[in-house]
Amino acid sequence: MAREPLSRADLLLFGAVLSVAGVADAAYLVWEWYAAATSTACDINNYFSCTTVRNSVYSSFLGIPTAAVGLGGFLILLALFVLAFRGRERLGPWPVDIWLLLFATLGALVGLALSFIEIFVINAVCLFCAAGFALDLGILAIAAVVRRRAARVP
Amino acid sequence: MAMKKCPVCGVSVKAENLERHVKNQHPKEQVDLSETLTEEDREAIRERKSAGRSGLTRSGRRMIAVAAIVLAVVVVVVVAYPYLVNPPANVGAQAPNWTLTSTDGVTITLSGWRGNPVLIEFMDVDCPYCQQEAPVLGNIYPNYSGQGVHFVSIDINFEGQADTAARIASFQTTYNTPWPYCLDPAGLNGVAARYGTTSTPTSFIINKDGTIGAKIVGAQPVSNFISALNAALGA
Repeated sequence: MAREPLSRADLLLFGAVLSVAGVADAAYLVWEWYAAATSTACDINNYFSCTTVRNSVYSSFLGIPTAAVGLGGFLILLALFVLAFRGRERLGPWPVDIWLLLFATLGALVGLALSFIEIFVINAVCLFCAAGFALDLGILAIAAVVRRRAARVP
Repeated sequence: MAMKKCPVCGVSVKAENLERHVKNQHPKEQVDLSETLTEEDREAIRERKSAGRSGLTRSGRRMIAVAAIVLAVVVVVVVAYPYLVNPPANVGAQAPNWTLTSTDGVTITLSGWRGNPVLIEFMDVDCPYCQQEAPVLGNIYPNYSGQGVHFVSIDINFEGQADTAARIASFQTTYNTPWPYCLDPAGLNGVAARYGTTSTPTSFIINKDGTIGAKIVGAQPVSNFISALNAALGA
């Protein structure tokens, strides 16, 4: 029996679910950043250590934790997925699909840059940050498929 | 669904996609579709759109449900599990009793210090925040130990290299912390679990009567320790 292809609604809702997970992940990191300075279960060893990453200068920018930027990004993506799922086609000058692709690409690029810094500069990896990057990549893939399908409409 | 010709470019488009096509392909054109799309067409489009909004396929629903459940379980396990396994020890409750051997070979039992306040610090020599906290405690130790307060640190081997008595002794020399240190071989699942501790450093101030007077999580200002210890001495 042929497998039923995923519909646009399937993809948009799946993207929303991944965005919710991203919001939870980033919110936890923001909470950790502002909470009392402690080592947590995220510190598995010297390499996989959230504390080492949190102690680095890259964990905040102008006093704003990097995770807060991620939280904002995931919230925007969630709102766009919900809007698209509810049938909204345009937002300002562009279709919602383009906005989705734009923010997903931006998120993935920021995630890529931060992962690079963690591995090659800080020499430590925060697993929660890595999970956020993985979610970004999943959302980017979904946004790309959604946009590609929309572009095929004559 | 009937095909309709775009009034701008003449391309045949599914009636349901005509509005989107005009918006996307000819965004600057002011197009009136009332003549192209009949009321019947519009009704059909409305039906298709409402179906499309909830147009989840069976396999899509299954995939999304599985993904949502897996992600929810991961979130619960990662965030809530430590608190479910080690419920926090409440201030005012009786401090769980324990017996450990210090790195000097002395057997310490908490209840043996009943009648004096006790400061218990759960820590790890590799934890950077514990390294921040050590000199803070070191500064107040002479004053409060003179007033009968017992200090004890319990290394729960939480992160970094495996801790040993030698590593702890080196830590004590570096940070000038002369009170007894115990290495709990059970780590997070040992005494720390009974105090609901999930991170280091976490300190407990035990009153003279054996109740928990204060819980101090993280490397905190010295004033937090002083006010908690003063309260314990007065209690």
